[in-house]
Amino acid sequence: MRRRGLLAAAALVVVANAIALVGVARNRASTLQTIELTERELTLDDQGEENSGTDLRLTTNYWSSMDWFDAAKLQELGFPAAISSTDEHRDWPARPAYVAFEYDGPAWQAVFEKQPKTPSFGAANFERQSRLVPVGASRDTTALNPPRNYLIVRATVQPRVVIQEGKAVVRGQIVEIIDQQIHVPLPAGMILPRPGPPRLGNSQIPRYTVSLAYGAHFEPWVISVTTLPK
Amino acid sequence: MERASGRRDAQDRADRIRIFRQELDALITGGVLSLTGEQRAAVDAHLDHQVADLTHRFDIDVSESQKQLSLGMRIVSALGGLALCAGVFLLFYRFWGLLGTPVQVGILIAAPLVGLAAMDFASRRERTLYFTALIGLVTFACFVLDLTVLGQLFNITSSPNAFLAWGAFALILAYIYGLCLPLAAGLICLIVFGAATLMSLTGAWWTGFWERPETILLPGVLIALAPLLMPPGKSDQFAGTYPLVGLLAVFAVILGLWHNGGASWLPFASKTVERIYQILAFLAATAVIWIGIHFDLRGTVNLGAAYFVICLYIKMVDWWWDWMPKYVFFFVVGAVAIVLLTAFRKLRERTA
Repeated sequence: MRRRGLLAAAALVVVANAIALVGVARNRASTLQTIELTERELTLDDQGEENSGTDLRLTTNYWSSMDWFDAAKLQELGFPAAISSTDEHRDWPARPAYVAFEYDGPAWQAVFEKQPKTPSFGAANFERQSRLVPVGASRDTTALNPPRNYLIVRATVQPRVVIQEGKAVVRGQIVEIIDQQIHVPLPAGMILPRPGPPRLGNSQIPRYTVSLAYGAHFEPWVISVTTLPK
Repeated sequence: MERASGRRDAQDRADRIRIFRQELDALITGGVLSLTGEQRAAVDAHLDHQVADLTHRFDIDVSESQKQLSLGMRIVSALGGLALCAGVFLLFYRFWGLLGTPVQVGILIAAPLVGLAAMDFASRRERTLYFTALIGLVTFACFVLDLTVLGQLFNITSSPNAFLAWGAFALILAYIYGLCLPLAAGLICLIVFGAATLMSLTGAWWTGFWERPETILLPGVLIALAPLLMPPGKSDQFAGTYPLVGLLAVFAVILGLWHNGGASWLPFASKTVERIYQILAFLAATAVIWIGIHFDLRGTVNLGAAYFVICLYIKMVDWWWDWMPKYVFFFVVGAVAIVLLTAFRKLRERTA
């Protein structure tokens, strides 16, 4: 009994790892999209002194208005049609969806132009912001069909009630990007600076660019990291 | 597992022998029974031999003080195991950034396998399994670390399936060596897996099961009732752990929805849902007490009674705390405790 039990436990360890690694291989067997992003979009994830690993965090621009993400789009993503602006205090469980982000395109320009131009919210702020702006969402990637310089990621989305021009309306929001934290393996991990106090505010220049790929399961991996001249 | 159940049987036998000796002394002192010196010596010699044999084979506790020490050793083993689990996680995270991916993967896969070998080694060298239990916890932590870090290394999308693997692994460890803590950990993993899978079936993202705690109810109830569905003898060893884990999950969910009806799937207003769950809480507590009495599960009865009292006190706070003078409130609480004691005593007499 004990011997068989130990063998079963060992087999479970091996099989679980094998399933995970085969999944990784299948994801990376076909590259669906590659994109080069900078520190503005892939910030260093500060994990403290106790963690020696290097991770990046995919950062998107949350200043965009996302007018396209209306009740009809939410219904398309599987939320009930009956959600109304009176459901202000109701939390709808987030659903997974594919979200398309435009990188440094017209959508980012629109965000840039809309932002307040006050001394307290200066140019340094704009140059820190991510230029990945959400422009569409779907349950199916083929429906998004984006041109170049777009990034499609899996994210969770949720309805919310917002007040627009004094009227309560239902809008969608991106709750979180699935696989937002992206591990940087060696040797690329050694090239990146260690996470520390924010430096971009002073220099206003990204310190590195990262070439990122997404595979068949929409799981990302880092292809290369390049440091930018100071 | 055979060894664990054998040890439990041996402990029961030693306890019965100790009680028998006390009763025998009482009978002789009371003049109900008289034994000649030879007869008494023969009985004592036989019992001493039995206890010595059981102690040699199973390392059982033969006195109350030994029993208390054993309990302390079990607690130390559990706390030490938990501390070592945290140590394993922190050690790996401290140095993993300095290792290449193949080395990281190799260490991650090897760690739980080495843990299994260490458990086997320790169990062959001790009869009480304190060290085996401690290593078991660390081995389980190594497997959790394995799949968690593998996911981080390759940016694998998280899924509830990892909880199924962890749950199955913990259950295997528990049943090989008769360890309760890995069993409880495994059952919790299986509850999470069940709840997350139900959540996924609704089209929502699996981590959202915390926001809709009703998904925990079904796996919780199934685990609580599992011993009743198992063949007799199979569940004896862990008879208390299944209902404890399952019912705690169910009771926590009901208490959560008692206060936050908005988190329910039920298509009613938040306040209505909260009232439904308040009634359900008392019904559930009563049903658990009844099932515990009917199937002779002492722990289940105690858990149900404790939950009933907690629910009652929460309700009394809701009703009276704000408007009642505080001294009156506490007098009422005391009076309710007396009424409950009377009710439980009557119940006890009826079931005697």
